[in-house]
Amino acid sequence: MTTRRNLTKAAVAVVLTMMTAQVTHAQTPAEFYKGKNVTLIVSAAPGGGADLYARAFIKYFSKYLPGKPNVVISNLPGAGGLTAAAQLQNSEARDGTVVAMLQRNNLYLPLVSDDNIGFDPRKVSWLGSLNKETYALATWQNAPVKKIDDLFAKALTIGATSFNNENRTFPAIINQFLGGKMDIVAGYKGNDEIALAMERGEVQGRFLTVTSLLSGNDASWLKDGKINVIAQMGVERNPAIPNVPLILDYVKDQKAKELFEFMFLPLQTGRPFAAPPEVPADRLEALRKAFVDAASDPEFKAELTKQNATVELVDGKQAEAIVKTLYATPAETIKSVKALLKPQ
Amino acid sequence: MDASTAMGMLTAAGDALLIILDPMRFAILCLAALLGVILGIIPGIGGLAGTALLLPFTFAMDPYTAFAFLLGLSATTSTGDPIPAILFGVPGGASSAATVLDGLPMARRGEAGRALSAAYMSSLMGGLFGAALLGLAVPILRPVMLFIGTPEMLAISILGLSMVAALSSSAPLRGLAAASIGIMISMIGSEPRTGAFRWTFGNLYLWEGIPLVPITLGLFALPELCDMAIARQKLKPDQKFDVNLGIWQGAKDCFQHWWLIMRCSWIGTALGAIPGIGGSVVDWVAYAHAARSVKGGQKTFGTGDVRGVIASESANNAKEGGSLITTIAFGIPGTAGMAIILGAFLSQGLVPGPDMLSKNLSVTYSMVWSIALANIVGAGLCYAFSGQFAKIATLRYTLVLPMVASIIFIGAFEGSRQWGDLIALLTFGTIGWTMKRLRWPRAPLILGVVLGDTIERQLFISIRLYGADWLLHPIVAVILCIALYGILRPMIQSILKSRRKGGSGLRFARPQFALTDLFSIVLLLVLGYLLILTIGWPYTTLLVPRIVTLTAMAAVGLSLFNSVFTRGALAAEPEEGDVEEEKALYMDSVGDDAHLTNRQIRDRAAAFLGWMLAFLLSMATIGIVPTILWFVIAYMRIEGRERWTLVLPMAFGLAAFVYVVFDQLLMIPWPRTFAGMLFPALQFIPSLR
Repeated sequence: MTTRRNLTKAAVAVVLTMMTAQVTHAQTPAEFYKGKNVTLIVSAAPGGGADLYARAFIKYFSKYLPGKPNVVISNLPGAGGLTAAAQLQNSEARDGTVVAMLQRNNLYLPLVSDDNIGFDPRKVSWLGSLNKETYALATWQNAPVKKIDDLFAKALTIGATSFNNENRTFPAIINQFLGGKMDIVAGYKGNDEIALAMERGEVQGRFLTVTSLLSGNDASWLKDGKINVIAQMGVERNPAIPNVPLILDYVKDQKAKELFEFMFLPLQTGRPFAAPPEVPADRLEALRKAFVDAASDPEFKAELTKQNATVELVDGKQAEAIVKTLYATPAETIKSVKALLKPQ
Repeated sequence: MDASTAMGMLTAAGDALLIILDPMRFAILCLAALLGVILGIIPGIGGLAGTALLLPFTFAMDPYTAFAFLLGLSATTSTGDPIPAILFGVPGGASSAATVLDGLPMARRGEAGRALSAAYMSSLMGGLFGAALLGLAVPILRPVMLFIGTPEMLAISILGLSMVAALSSSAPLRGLAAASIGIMISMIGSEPRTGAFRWTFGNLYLWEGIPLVPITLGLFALPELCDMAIARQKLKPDQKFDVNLGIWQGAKDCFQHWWLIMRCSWIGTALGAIPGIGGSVVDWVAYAHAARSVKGGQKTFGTGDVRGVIASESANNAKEGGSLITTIAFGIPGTAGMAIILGAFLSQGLVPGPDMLSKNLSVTYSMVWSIALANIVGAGLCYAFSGQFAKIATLRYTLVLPMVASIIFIGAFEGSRQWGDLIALLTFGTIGWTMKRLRWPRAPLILGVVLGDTIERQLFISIRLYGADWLLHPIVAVILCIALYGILRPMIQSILKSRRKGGSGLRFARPQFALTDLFSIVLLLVLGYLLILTIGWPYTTLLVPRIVTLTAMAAVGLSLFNSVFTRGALAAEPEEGDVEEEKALYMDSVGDDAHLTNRQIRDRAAAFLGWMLAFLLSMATIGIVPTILWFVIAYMRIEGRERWTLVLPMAFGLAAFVYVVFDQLLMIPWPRTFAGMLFPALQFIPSLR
């Protein structure tokens, strides 16, 4: 059975390669894309932040792709983006008509998961990312933790969504390696449900992206002094909150530092885009260039500003380098990450 | 609230009405209502795909117009939902499933017009009521919501689950088993608190659990289609009642039962406001409430009682106002549709929260008006086409079945757009049909699926935060008492009754086995296997699943024991009263194939399954559009020997419809096909990728 399936797969691959190879020599990317539909798979449900980025982006992506193909969105949420990632790598067309907007956990989860996920971030071609992300810890005004030193001395109840989410793993490593005293209550559905729980006093704080912190209700809470921002998490300081202490500065132990860096590095690709493996080189080049041009378009940036979102371009080469760094992490660090993510 | 604030609110509400009535905006609202009704009629699509697709078009609109458009669309999908539910027994959306129970028998009786009319009118009244409640609640939204914490939400979820008792009153053990199995299904996937995977069998599709759409369509829609194929007759033998009179009667029914509509609208609005429950069970809760509270409801519900339709549909439309409450006040969407509306907030640069209730009050009120006006326009549209819709019910099954089946496959695929959805559809279709045949109540299963993991999640948060003290929160205590009363009342009643009779209750006889016991035995084996799989899970992860699995096993076991040992006694001396009552209390649609032998039923059911499997295989090989083409032709020719002049237009018409609407407009990403991978040159054929 397996052999037969493999044979079929091989046959499919041969036929596919022959077809694409033929076409490649015959057409320039502009000729190829003209009049075609390019599908952008969005690994999140319609209506959320990621989806909005994508829906605003496609107009400009289409504008800068040679031949100006029509770019259409297809939402494929599931398994934290891994459903879309696996489908992109294994079964989508490899002729350059399909790309996907994945999620940053997709860059490292396959590395630390024992399950057969069907996705390897080294196998797909990265186009880049639309922004970089930083995390912040915000506490409600009456919480005992008001500044970073309190974090290591006083108890704090924080809300989280799920076990593998950054809003649970980040406080967990701070507890484990820096002596934090946070009680992490996971199981809330979404960021806004934690915000509500905080407002009504069920929890005292939460970890959230700086993008969320500086938009929406948190922005006005911050202005009115209703929340305190205790610390920021990322490999580098976010220029938008320059005075908030960087957690990485408090990590002295070298081994711990490697773990923190491993956990924070994927934040550098906040909204990562990828193409399937084996896309013809000239078309991949065209996709990457169009990605950079579209993300740099002032009109696109203005549109996102209106939606309280920002653009910080990370190009395909940089995204690839991040994956490479992650996969070069020492085995010992990987082991501690696995322990961190092991079901309790 | 002082007088000036009240005046400010009234002014804002008045201003908002004028803004919405601007001719251009009102025209867009009407267009949205029309689209909504059409999307609502198509089973499973439920407006979600349409709303997502249309979201970018609102980027260029001003906020009032954008929300008029999106809310107009989502508010009217639930007006269109009951149409297929009543005509074919196929719920148009997850929240119209309860409408089938009484709507379909009415249509079979020849009262399709009355049922449809009652559905539209109660939708309209429920929708208006929900909007009014939202409008009135605006000033107190945030304080009230801030008062309702996780324990209170948990209590309300438990109250919802307690409705299982009312929905399975003739077969409490089977109801309990179905609800427990439903909860088990909701536990499938990655568990948020500990990150453990429960019953996922290493399958990525199961990571986030099985989506609700294929489950609902499988449990309720496929069994009706299968029975349609078994009975081999048109849905309604003849036009016994005048359609126009029926329409008049249906509207009159609603005004007669206005108090029921009010109560069910309250249920709809309140449950709609609870994130996680979000509308998928409001119809069942309202239905159960009505069955219990209206006069004689326990006897007539499920046999074509118009009050069942009214209860389900009024709650269904009222939920829209409710789910907007948490969206506006906190940015927490109650339903998937609301998540898209939330996207519109973000794209308009609006922030849900206090601002919406002060600075942007006129936008908030424009939303209330949008929902209210869209409901009126939607109901008007439905009334305009009522006569035509009612006629569909007289069509032969060979015309209806292939079309509805094709659309159901697409609807289920919308669940998460993976093959797993279609496999889940067929699996739950088989389970649903078996349950229907063996008289196991199906509604408790849906309640379990929707509420199971929400309850577990809220339970652990409540315990983490408050220990056992959460039970002492006043609101929690009151709600839990109501739930307990709802569960215990049927039991107390039956005990009292048997006391009065002086009977000894159960009578046992020598065990008699029947072929139908096989279902229970298979179930026990599967449950046992799933129980074994829980070994090795972290403690907090396995606690609830184990309790629920054991409960399910106990309920199935007792039910099996019961039927094996009482079968002889019942056959020996049939107790007229008891048997009669048991029949009346069974709350589910009943087929009309008494004239067929078991063998005929089995063969025709197998043939139906064969058709469905052939559809799936063909879809995997050559794509859905070509599949629909041959499927319609083959089905109509082989099953019904329809004439070619009818077959060809139907087949090509449906294929073209699917191509234009789903492939071109909604751009549903069809799965890749074998033919498409082997011969890329064939990819010019629609849906053959």
